[in-house]
Amino acid sequence: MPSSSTMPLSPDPPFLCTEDASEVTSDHHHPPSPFPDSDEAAIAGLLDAETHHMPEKDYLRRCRDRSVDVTARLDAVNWILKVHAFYEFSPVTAFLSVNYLDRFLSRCSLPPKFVFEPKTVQRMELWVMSNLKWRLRSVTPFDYLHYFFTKLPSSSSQSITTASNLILSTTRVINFLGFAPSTVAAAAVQCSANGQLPLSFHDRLNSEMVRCCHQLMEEYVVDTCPASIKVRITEAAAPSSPVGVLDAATCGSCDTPSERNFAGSAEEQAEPPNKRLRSSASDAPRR
Amino acid sequence: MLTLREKYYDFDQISSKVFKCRRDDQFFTMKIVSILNEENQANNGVPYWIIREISILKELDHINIVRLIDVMTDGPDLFLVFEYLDNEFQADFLKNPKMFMYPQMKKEFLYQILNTVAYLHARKILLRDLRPENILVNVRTQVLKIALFGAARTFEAPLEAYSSSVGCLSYRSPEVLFQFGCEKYSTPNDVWAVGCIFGEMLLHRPLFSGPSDVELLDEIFTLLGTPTEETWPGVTSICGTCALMGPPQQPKDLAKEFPMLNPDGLDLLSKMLCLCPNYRISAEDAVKHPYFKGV
Repeated sequence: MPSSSTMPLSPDPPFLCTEDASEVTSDHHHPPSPFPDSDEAAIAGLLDAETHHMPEKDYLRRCRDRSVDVTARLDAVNWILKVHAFYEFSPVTAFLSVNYLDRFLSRCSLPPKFVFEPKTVQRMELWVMSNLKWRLRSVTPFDYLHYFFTKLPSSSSQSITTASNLILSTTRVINFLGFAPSTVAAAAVQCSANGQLPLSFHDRLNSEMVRCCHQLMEEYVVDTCPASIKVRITEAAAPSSPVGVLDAATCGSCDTPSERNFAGSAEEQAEPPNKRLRSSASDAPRR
Repeated sequence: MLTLREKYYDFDQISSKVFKCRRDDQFFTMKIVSILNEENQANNGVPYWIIREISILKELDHINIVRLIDVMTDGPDLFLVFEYLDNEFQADFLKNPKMFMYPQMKKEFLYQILNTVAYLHARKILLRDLRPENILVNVRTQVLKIALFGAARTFEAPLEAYSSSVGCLSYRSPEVLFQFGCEKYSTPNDVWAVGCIFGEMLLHRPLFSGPSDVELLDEIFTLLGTPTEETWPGVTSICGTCALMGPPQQPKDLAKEFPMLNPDGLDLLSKMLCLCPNYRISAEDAVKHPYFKGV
């Protein structure tokens, strides 16, 4: 990962792509066609596939020990969120971009001072895509949202928008990288529905991981202020000051599930929240 | 990373852009896709439709879909490595004489097509242009393979070009025909196409063959009757002018048109060829239809 100064982070990026933005916003990931509602079989398929669309296993560790430049990563994520807000792309578009970024960085490092020019964009793209093994149709937490919401008690207050915003906010915080998309989705539903999702609602979801992710979400991306979600969106639109989110997160307390709860879980790279919290404090770029 | 020629060898040209090749003891079909042309200079990046098609194919793993195994790059060319289908797999399966001899085989193949469509729809993927040319069958083993998207033909034209009036219209659903080019493809459109293929299997000729949108609609209504607000709520607002629909026609008796079909078969066919897309049977339900009992 290069130092952030070499990343194309200017607020007015020269978009090289000649595609009309509407082609991209037309959201190919979820065509607006009347598909049958996701059923159990479709969810099982997503659960089978999701681990293939996550960064390499050691990526979170490498972020923590700084062999990946997390500040530059955060700058890139903020830039992605800024573009997302500017063009009013759907949340899944922004989430996919960050997914590609992380998966690429987990496999490759860019030489320092790497700058690519317009004429090398296509080669760069091919390089990125072959490193992602052309698996760009990533399973994201958004694929689960609708189904998970159907698992809520009918009386509960629910908001897909709130859950979507929560999911998008997790892209800034490396500690969420260790969680599978289904876990992040369940935690976001849990957050937005005030914990009314029955923890054992799906036998293939690890309820302890969901609980832990939910807790992290409460700490990092939701705070006690009722307007917090709104604040988060505003920040996404002006991502030049992400410090607030992370600083706020570091002030929170977190009751810690013991480390052994994670033993044998599919998400081995996840660590107890208190450890995450400390590492995250130093993730925040000080300006 | 291995280069193309380190990984694959024994290239054998099949057509200008298609090769048979080998790796270890396995054969593959390799298709070359150029990502450069006059409109698409290197500066513009890889065309999004190529990325979209490949990334969809990469996630599919189904016995009835020609599998994309690998994607290699070399300069401005992409090399798509597909599973190799030997000579026993034949295109034009509807013209295969064995199809006439064994009626059960038709049912078997129809089931495999519907099963594949249901698999794709569960993954939010549309076929959009299912037609017999994209289907290969091995009549000995009774395995059918659908070559998706660009696999069966040139990958070089953007998808948009496929979906406008290029190629034959015969398998287009009435709702797509009504839109005249500004397609709103959705899952029922794929089921309609399977219904047309079902009819073609039985009649040994295309069910509908109209050379233009209007003539095709006329053929469809001659067989199935002109839709009314009752059979297809909202149809008059979709088609705009009723001139498109011609003089109202009564539906024909499918049992007389398809005397070879048993009542279950007739029921399934009529549900797949239901004019109103919202009332048309889904692929998932069609697979469970009593017609397939014992398949």
